[in-house]
Amino acid sequence: MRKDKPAWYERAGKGPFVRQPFDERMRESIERRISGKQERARRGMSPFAFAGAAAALLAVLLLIRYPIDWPDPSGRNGLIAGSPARSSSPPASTSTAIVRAEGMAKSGRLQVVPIGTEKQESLGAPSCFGTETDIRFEGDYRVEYVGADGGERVIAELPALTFVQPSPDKVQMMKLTFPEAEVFVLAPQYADCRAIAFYAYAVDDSGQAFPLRFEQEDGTTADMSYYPPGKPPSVSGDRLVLPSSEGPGGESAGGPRDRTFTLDLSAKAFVQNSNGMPDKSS
Amino acid sequence: MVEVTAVEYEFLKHVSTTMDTATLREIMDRYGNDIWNYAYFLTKNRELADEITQDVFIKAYYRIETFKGRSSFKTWLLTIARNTAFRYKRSSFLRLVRLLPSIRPGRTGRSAESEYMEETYADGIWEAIMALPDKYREALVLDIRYDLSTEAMSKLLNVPPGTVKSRLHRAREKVQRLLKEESQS
Repeated sequence: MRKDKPAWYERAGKGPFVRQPFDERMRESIERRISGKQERARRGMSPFAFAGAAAALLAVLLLIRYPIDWPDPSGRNGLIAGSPARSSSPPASTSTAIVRAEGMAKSGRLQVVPIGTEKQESLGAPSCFGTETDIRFEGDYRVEYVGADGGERVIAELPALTFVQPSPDKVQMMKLTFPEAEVFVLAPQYADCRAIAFYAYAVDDSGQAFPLRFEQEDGTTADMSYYPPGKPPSVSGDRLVLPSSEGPGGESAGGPRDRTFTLDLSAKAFVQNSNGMPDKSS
Repeated sequence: MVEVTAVEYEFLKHVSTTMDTATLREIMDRYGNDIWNYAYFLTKNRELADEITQDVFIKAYYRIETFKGRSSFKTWLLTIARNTAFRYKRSSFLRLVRLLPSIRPGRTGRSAESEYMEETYADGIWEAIMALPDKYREALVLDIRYDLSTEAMSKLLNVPPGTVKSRLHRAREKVQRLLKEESQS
C-alpha cells in the first residue's frame, strides 16, 4: 500500500463481494455466445435467412435480366459509396469503403466512416428499437472532417458502435445552428423505447471541427447524451434544449423538465444549466 | 504515456491482430473479475454487470485489431465496459431490471449459503463506497482497485486531471467521514 493513500484502502483491497463474481459459468456463457456466432457463420444461415437470401438472389437475377433505373430523389443521400449505383438492397454481410453518416457544414463536411469492415444484418424482429426490416450496422468508426480544400482530419473514433437505420443510405446528421458554430447531432440508432443516444460535433466559424462533451449538472461528464423519441434536440436562446425523457411515474418533484446546455467552445463541451431550466432572459 | 508492462507486451504481441479462444480464456482469467467489478461499480446491479462483462469480452474478441496500444490493455477493456454500461443505462433494459428486481435469470436453484456469498460485501467499507455518488465512487474504485494513474483516469473518464484529483479527494473525505460516523455509532 502506498504511503499517500489512506489506511482503509487495505480494507477495500478485496471485494466488493466475498465470492469472485467472474466464474466458470460466465466464461462458458461468453464462449458459447462466440462459438454460436461462429457456428451460425459456418453453417451459413438459418432457414429464414436462407429464404431471404434466396429472395435476394432472385431479385439480383431479375435486376440483371430486367435492369431498372432507380430514382435517387435527393441526388445526394445516396447508397453506399463505392457500391453499384443500382444496388438497392442492403449487403448481406460486411462491406468496406462506405460513409455511414454525414453532415454538411458551411466550411466542409463531417463524415462517419467505418474502420475496416462493417457488419450488416437486418434487425429481424420488430421492437421499439426498429422494424423487422431495419438494418443493423456494427463496426468501429472514425469521424472525419473534410475541409473545403479537400483535406481530411480524423476528429474522433467510435469503437464498437452499432447503427440501426431503416435504410442503407447515409445517415444525415441533424444540424443545429449556434452563433459561433454549427453543431451536428449523430444518433446511430434512430429509434429506442425511451431515449435516443447521440453524439455531438461542432464546426466553428474558423472551420475547426471537434467532438463535444456533455458536462452534466451532477458533475459527471459524458461523450454522448440522449433525447426522447420524437422530440429531437433544438436550440432556444442560444442554448441546446433536450426535452425531458421522464416517463409516467418517474418525473422529478417539479414535473418533467427539459435539460438545457450552454455551448462552451473553449471547453469543447455543452455545459448543463442548473435545474435544466433556461434563464428568463433567454 | 502508454502503460504497457513487459508481461502485457509479450501477451499483446500474440493478440494484436486476431484472437483465438485460448487467448480469450487467458484474457478472461486475467481481467474477468476486474471488468465485472467495474461494471458493478458503474451500475450497482449484478445482472447488468453480468451482461456488460460478457459484452466486453465478446467485443474484445471480435475487435482486438482496434486496440492500438494508446492505453494499457486493461484501460482499453475498461473503456469498452464504460461505453457499454452507458448504453445499457440508456436502454429500456435497465428500467426493466429496476422495475422487476426479483427476476434473476440464470440464478435459479441457488442455496441460501450461495446467495449469501454472492450478495455480501467482503468488507463493511464497501457499504460506504457504494453509497457514494456515481462520479466519486467511480474515481475512488479506479484508484483503489485498478491503480490507474491520474492521466489514465482522466482519459477514461474524459475529464481533466484536476477534476480526477478533486473527485478522488472528495470521495476519500466522504468515506472517511462515513467510517468515523460508523465507529461513533
